[in-house]
Amino acid sequence: MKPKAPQCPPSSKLSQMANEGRLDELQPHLNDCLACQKQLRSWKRLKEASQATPWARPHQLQAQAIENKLLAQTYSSPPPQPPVYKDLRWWGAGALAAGSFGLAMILWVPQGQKDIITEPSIASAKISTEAPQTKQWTAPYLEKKQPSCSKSSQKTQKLPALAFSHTSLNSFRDFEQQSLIPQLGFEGASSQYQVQLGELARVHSLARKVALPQNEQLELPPAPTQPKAPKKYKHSAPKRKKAVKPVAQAPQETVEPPTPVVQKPQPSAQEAVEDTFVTAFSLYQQSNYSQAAIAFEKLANSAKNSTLAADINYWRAMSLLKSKQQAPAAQLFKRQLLKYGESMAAAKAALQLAQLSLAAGDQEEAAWALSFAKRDANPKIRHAAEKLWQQYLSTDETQKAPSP
Amino acid sequence: MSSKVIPLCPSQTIESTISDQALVAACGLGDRAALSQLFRRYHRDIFRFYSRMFGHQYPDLDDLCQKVFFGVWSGASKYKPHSPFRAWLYGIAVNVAKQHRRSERRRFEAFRNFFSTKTQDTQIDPTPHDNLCAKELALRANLALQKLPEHLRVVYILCEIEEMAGTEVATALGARPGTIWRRLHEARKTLKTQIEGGQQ
Repeated sequence: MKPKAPQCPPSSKLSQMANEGRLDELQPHLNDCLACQKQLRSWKRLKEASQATPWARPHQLQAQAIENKLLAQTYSSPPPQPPVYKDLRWWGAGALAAGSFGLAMILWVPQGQKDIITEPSIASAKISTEAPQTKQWTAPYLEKKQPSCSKSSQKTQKLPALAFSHTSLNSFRDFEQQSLIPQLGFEGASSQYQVQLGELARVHSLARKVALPQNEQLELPPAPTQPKAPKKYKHSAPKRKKAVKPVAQAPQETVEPPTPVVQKPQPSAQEAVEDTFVTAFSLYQQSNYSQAAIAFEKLANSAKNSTLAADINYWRAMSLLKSKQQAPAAQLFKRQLLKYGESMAAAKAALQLAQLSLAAGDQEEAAWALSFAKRDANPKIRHAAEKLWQQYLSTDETQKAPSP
Repeated sequence: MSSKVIPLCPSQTIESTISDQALVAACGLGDRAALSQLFRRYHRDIFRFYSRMFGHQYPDLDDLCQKVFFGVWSGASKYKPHSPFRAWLYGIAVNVAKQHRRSERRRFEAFRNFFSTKTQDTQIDPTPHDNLCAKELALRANLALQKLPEHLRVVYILCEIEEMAGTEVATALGARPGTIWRRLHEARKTLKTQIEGGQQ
C-alpha cells in the first residue's frame, strides 16, 4: 500500500467514519487520495467476506422446539419481579443491619468506656485510700467491686437534683464542666451524691485527690467558663492535645458545606441540554433523521443561549438535509454562517450551503458560501472549497466573487 | 378467459405491529405471548451472532439462544424503554456467551478446541476453481474470526456483520465509544493480516 499523505485522516478515524456512515464528509479528500480509497476497499472486501461466512440457520421445527423449551422454563421459574421490590428488599436488609449495629453500639459503648476509664484509676484509688482522712468515706464505695452500670443508673433516677446522663459522666472533661467537684466538696460530700454521680466520676476524683498529704487542704478551682480542657490534668496532657485537635477542626468542617450547595444547580441545566443533545445526536447516528431533526428543533427552541447552540443548529440542518428537506436545511446553514460564523461547524456548513445552492442554481449564494469556506483555517475545507469553486464558478470568478 | 389475480399478502397480526419496547414491557408483566413474539423476531439474529462467535457447527447454539431469551424474560422489568432494544438484547447475548465460555473452560475446553480446529482445517482445501474463491475467502475469514481475541471478535461481529451503530455496540457492551472504535480497528487489522497470511 502507498504511504499515506499527511492530510489523510488516521485509520482509526476513517474506520469510525465509515461505520457511522459519515464518509460523505470526507468525500472531497477521498476523491483524490488513492491510499484512503484502497483502505476503504479492503475493509469493504473484508466485511463482505465476513458476512459471507457460514452461519447456522435454525430450522422452523428447531426454532419451535427451542421456543417450547423456553416457555416451559418460564413456567417453571418465578415470574419476573419489578426491580422496585428487589431494591426495597435490599434497603430493608440494609436498614435492619444498620439498626442492629446501632443497638449493639448503644449496649456496648458505655460498658467499654467504663472499662477503659475505670481500670487504671481503680488501681490508683486502692493505693491512695490508705490515707486515714479519706478512708472514712471512701470505704463503702471501694468495698463494692465495680458495681454495674444499671445499678448506678437506678440510683440516679432516685435523685433528680443531679440527674444527667450516665455517658456524660464518662468523660472526665464533661465532669469538670458541670462543676460537680465544687458542689461535692471533698470532705463534706454526702455519700448520697457521690453514689449518684456514678462509679466513673467517683473513682476519677479519688484517684486524683486522695494522694495528697494528710494536712494539706484541697483547693479546687472554680468551674471553668470555657469548654476548653483545663491545665489541671497534666498527667493526661498529651492525650488532651490529641483530644483537642478534632474540636478545633470541627468548625472548619461546618463552614465548608454551603459552597457545594450553591454550586450544584449550575451544571444541572447545562447537563440537561447536553443530555438532550446526545439523545438527538444518537437519533441522527441511528439514521433516524426526521426524528433527529424534530429533537434538534425542540432543543434549539429551548436552549437558544446555550454554548451548544451552534452545534445544535448545524446538526439540525444536517438532519433536515439527510431527510431530504433541502430548502429548510439551506436556510439553517445560512443562519449558521450569519449567526454562528465563529463556530467550528461554520466552514462545513458553508460547504454544504454551497453545494445546495449550486444544486438549486443559485450561484451567487454558492459563491458567497465558498468564499466563507475558503477563509477557513482547516486546509481540507479550503481545498474542498477551492475545488468546488474551480469546478463550478471559475468561469466568472471576478464578477461573482462576493464581498467578504 | 382472463381471471383476476389477487396477490396474497401475509396477514399482519396485532402482535407483529407491536414495538419491541412494548413487548418487553409486557414480558416484564409476565406475558409469555410477548416473549414468544420477541423470540420469533430475533432468534435468527441471535443464532447468526453465536454462529460467528463460536462457529456454525457449535452444538450448544440452541441452549445459548434459549438462555438469551430467558435472560430477556427475567430481566424485562429492568429494561429502560428509551434505550435501543437490539443493543440490550445483544448485551444479554454477550453476557451469556461470556458465562458459557467460563463454564466451558471448566469442562476441559482444550478437547473441544482440538477437535473443532481439526475439523475446520479440513474444510480449507484450496480449490482451483474461480467460483470457489469467494467461498474460500469466506472460510478463511471464518477461521480468522474464530482466532480473533474474544473482545475484538464481539465488536467486529456486532459492528461489521450485524451492522450495528458504534454507539449501540458501546451500550450493549457497557464500554465507551472510543474503546469500540479502537477495538474495531484492531480487529480489522488482525483479520486482514491473518487472511492475507493465509492466502500467501
